[in-house]
Amino acid sequence: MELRKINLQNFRQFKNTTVEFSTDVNKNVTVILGDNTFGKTTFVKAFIWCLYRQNTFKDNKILLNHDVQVQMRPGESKETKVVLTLMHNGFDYLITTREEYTKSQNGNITTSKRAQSSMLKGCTGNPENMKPIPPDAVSNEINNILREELKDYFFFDGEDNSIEKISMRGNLKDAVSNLLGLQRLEDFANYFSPNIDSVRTRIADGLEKKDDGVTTLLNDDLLRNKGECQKAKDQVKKAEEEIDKLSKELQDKNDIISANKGVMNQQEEKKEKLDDNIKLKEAIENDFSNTVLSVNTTDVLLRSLYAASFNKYDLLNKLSSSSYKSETSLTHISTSAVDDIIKRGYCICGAKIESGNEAYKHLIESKEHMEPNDYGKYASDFSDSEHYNFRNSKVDLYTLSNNLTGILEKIGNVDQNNKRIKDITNLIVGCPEIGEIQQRANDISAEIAKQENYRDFYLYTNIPELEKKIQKNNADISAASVNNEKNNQIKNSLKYCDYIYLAASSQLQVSKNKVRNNLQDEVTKAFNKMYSGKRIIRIDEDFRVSTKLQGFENENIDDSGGLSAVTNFAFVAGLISLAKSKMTLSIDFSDNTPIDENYPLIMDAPFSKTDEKHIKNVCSILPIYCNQLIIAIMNKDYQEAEPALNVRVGKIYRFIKKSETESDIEAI
Amino acid sequence: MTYSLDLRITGKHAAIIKKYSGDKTKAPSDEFKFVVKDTQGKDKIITIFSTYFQCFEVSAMLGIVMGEKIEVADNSTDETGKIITATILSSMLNQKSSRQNLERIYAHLILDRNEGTIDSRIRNAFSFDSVDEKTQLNEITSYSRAGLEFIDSLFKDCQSYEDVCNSLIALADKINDLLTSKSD
Repeated sequence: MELRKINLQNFRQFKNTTVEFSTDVNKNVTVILGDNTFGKTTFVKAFIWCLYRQNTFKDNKILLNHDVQVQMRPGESKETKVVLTLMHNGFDYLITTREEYTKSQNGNITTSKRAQSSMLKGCTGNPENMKPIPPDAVSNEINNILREELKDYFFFDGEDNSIEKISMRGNLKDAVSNLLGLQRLEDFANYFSPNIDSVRTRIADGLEKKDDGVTTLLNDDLLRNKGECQKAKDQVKKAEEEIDKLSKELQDKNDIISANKGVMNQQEEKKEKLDDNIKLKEAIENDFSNTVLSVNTTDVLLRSLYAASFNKYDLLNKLSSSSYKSETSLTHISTSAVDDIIKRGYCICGAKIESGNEAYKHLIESKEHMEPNDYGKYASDFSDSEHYNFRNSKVDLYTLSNNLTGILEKIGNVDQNNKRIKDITNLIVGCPEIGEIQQRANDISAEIAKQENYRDFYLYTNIPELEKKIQKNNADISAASVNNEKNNQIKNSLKYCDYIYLAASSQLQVSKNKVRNNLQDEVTKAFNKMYSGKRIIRIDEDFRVSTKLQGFENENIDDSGGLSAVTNFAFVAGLISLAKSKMTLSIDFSDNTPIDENYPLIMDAPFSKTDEKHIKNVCSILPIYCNQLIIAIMNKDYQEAEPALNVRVGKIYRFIKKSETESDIEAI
Repeated sequence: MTYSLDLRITGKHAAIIKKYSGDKTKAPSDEFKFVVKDTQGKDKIITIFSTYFQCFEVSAMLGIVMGEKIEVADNSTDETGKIITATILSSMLNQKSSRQNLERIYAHLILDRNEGTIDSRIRNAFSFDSVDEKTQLNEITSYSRAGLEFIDSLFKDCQSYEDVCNSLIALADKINDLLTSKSD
């Protein structure tokens, strides 16, 4: 298939836009430059809609240009149309797909005629001799050009089908089988399969069976085993569909995660701050309660105030300057004892005591130094006690201040966290909750693994066991059947069927291995040309593609989609290369012409997740692998791609955004 | 000394005592609650002093070290028109620790004054039984009033834990200043 020209009329934002593609084999690249919202995705989707009438727009299913819709009068009808001109297999084709819309009296736009395709076909070089293909044959004719199930390998719209997602597809095995010609071989083998309803079953039904209980039991057993085998196969299909669905969802989630790495970091930081605040607040509540409790239970303030008074009024010096001394204290003598001595007239020491003599005066004076007038001791005790308290209070007060400062620091940390949380919240407002998406991605991965185990159990354990039983049932029934000429012929036919089935199955396995090995070789070649690193690329039995560092079997990598983009470019290039080389077509029973000539690759923003170095590599290699490369690309990405792509660019255009509802494409 | 009379603080000073002190015998009335917001933004009642007496003695010492007293009792009334009163029962005053604290406060009160000789101040400060109960408590209460007003000035605008901590730090700093400076 070689694309020549596309014309879009009233198709979304394109009112009447025509683009001719480069068909020069040496300059087989057509570039259309445009930034986001300029119409790149719409442009690529126009091919898919024109060929397969598949409307994959998510936002608005009405394809008719908005300005046209507004200008329509109630009751008026207008159509949207895409005309694609291409060459295939020596024929020129003009495919026109149109859909009609009508404006109702209340102004609503509805589809009045669903999308329909028409086709003109003629030998290449004779446009005047192109003839219309009957309407009911158009779809078949388009499928002969490129089967619908293979379109995803050639048209990358960047949304539902981006280059990064190709190897994630659960139905990759079927698709590759289709593309590389294995499907017909598989269909052929199944035609003779003893395990399902097949031509063999119908032949076996012709056996004249003995009308006895044993044969009835064998037949019942066969039917039951076939039923279970079919159920198991349905389960496999169901599991694969589920894996496919989950894989797509996983890829979407991973895309969101990759695209929001910064947001995820910020959300994690926000969560950390929130968690930190919970702990801080708990600590503040505890510390605050304990500190306030210490204030009102330990008398720290009162004792500090005693000390403050003691210091401020210099009581230590003042008290020591008093005439009351502790040395003169007579604490253990009472004033009444002194009075008794005076009354007795002589002292304990024998000195005479008379009113007014020295001994008398001394005794009277000594009464000032005993209870309740022991002021020297009172003052001394007070001074000692307050001095001691003074020293301790400084420490107590420091501890209190320190505790309070600690609480304030924590409060400050909470405030800082709150400020940061507020800033982050403002920064990520409207962003998806990446933590939840990551959790969902993990759940999906686990569910995929579960479904794979489920599928593998049926595929590799349950179904083979049932097939053995069915084979035995068939053999037993055959042995138990009536021995006559007709049955002998049927049995011979059955043997023939079984032989063909075994041969075809065996050939299918050989072919699959061959295809896988060939694909591995082709993809490796492409990958090695595109990728500069130490990774190797692998294709497993289900044609899934992955990369590994040599020597690291179980490796988790995080490349934000860049490596997977290169990997998938290599996969697509290898796939196209293999199909082109027809290496798979030499196998027996294969599809004669699944792909019988070169195919174009049409891509929207293919390099958005590829780094500069690999963009250059991919751009150098891709035009060699595919016959025709049409890329709608952002200006900034093209700056990276241009040095490598320039020599291959045959035509270059740019999108022009005239308004929110109108874009056009013009040649540069 | 044995105290025969209850100690009554009245008016705005009583309100201050009630606000910042706990009273285990009854829940604080709305009028005299010291409420700030906790870390969850909920109202939290804060008790700086566990009892009226503790508040009284701290405020008295504050008044003494600041050298400030208010001799005239305030007679502000509550919503019902009654004079606000905070009563410290004589039984509380007569507890050994309370009595010792009152004697200690009174000793500071007398010794800190710049009146008379140091000997006469010592005699006055430690002549416990010769001092009239009413005189002693009135003296202490007048200093307590000044201290209470200072405490209220620190805490009255508190809205949060942060404010309370800052006020307590301001109080500690104030005391610390007095711990390191001498009176002129």
